[in-house]
Amino acid sequence: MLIVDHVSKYYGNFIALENVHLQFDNGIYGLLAPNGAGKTTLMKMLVTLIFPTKGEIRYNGENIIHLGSKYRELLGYLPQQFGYYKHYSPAKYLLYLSALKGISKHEAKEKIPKLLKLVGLEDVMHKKMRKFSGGMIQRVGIAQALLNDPKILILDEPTAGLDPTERARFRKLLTQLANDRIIILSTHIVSDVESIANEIIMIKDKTILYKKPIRELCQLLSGRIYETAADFQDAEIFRKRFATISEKQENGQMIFRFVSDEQPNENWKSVEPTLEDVFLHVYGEGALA
Amino acid sequence: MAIDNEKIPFPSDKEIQQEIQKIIAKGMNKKPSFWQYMFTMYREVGFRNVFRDLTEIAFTIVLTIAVFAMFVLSTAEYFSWTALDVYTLIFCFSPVVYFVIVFFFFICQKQKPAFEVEMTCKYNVYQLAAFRMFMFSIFAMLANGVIIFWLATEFSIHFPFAFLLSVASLFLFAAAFLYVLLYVPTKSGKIALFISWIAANLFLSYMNSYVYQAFLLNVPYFIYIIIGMAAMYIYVHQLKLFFVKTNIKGVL
Repeated sequence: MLIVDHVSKYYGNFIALENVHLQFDNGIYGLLAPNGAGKTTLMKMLVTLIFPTKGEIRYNGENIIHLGSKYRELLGYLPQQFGYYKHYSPAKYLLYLSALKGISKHEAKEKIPKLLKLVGLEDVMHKKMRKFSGGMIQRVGIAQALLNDPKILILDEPTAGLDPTERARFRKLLTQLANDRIIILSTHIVSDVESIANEIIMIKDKTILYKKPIRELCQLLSGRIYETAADFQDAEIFRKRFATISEKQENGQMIFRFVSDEQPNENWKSVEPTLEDVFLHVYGEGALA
Repeated sequence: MAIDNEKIPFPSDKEIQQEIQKIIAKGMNKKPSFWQYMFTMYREVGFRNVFRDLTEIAFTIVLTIAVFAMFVLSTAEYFSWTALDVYTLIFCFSPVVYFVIVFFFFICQKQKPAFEVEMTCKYNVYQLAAFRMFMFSIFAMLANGVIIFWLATEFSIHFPFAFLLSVASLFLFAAAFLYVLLYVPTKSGKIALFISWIAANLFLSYMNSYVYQAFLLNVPYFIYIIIGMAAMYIYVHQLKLFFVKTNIKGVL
């Protein structure tokens, strides 16, 4: 069990995170917040890249800082900007990182082709990464995070640069892995987590706003989400009068979705809230940042 | 009712304690010593990965030695180097090769794209650095030996004495450098130490060359051996400290 025990992180006078308290058991946790909310700071503290100013993070009762390499042995990490050596091939790079992770050469040589196949890079495993696309590099990053079969997998914006097929494959992979490990992935893309996460963690105002299963989060807005159609010419007036959370075009009309405590009009139908509604409602304009 | 009178053998307190100690000894993994850990790390990571940038290191060493040799040879035309000056030079510049390799390694390391991933591995960048620094210090000692051997042929200095002087200087500086690495996180702190070392030695030799050189030359051999050994001991102690602290150290 991983516990973030009343952790704060300050950079001088700047507060990056304040009094964060979280508990993780095996499963998938989606850290959902707009850019700049403090997701990466929390991620970096979880992987011991930075230390909390206050509080501590414990794994099975022991402070992860004191565990040192014993903790890092259990860790798989994909940073937001995954760094690599351009003149290395994925196979060579993974072999290098295997050595740093204390995996024997023999074991690594067996494991690496399987992992690269898993992320769809088996055909280019010996090609230099210099000419790889962003999505391909990200897939190398995912493979390296899985090298040591980590008990704690921390992924910072893992789907950045992946196309829809790769995203779907990645989600499937995470679901398969989640059975006996803690997976924490940060994202600001709702669809990355809504179908796979056991719980969603939302950060607002430098602290944890919610840590709940998706169903419970959606219940927060139950009976308060309405949808209606409006003509294009009325759209601007509509936007000014109501706090819409989303809008889309459908059959030559605008479909508005908004939160209201009471039904403003009989013709406007109440709909089931989604995670995206919660996200947009919580973060408002900031969600689009 | 015979069962009531039956004696059940019960272990004494001493036996209980012995059994507890036996269980603990068998159950607990023995903490490896610093050298065992270093050796395991080297075995698991491998020479190729520990010295992944071997070409850059070799280039840095060749460049440093070439600059030093050029400095001595070019100044020899205008300045007559006496044996005493050479001893000053040796004491002053012995840590240069070591400093250049280690310092550039630390500068380059943080600029490397894979730094964050490497820092979260079982053997992180700083642990590898501790091992590399130890190897560099051995290498620098040998490289200094070669340079001093060359200087001995050119300037008729006493090789064993000059070598001892160099070893003492190298390990004193290396220990101080490790201290700065641990407690002064800024780049300028490391540079300041190096500049101070050179400047202080040059200043002392310039201001009162007689006293400075008399100190360097009149100290008996065995004192240099003691100083050298003590410096090595302090260095290894600092290295162990660096290793332990950086095992749990973050980037910021």
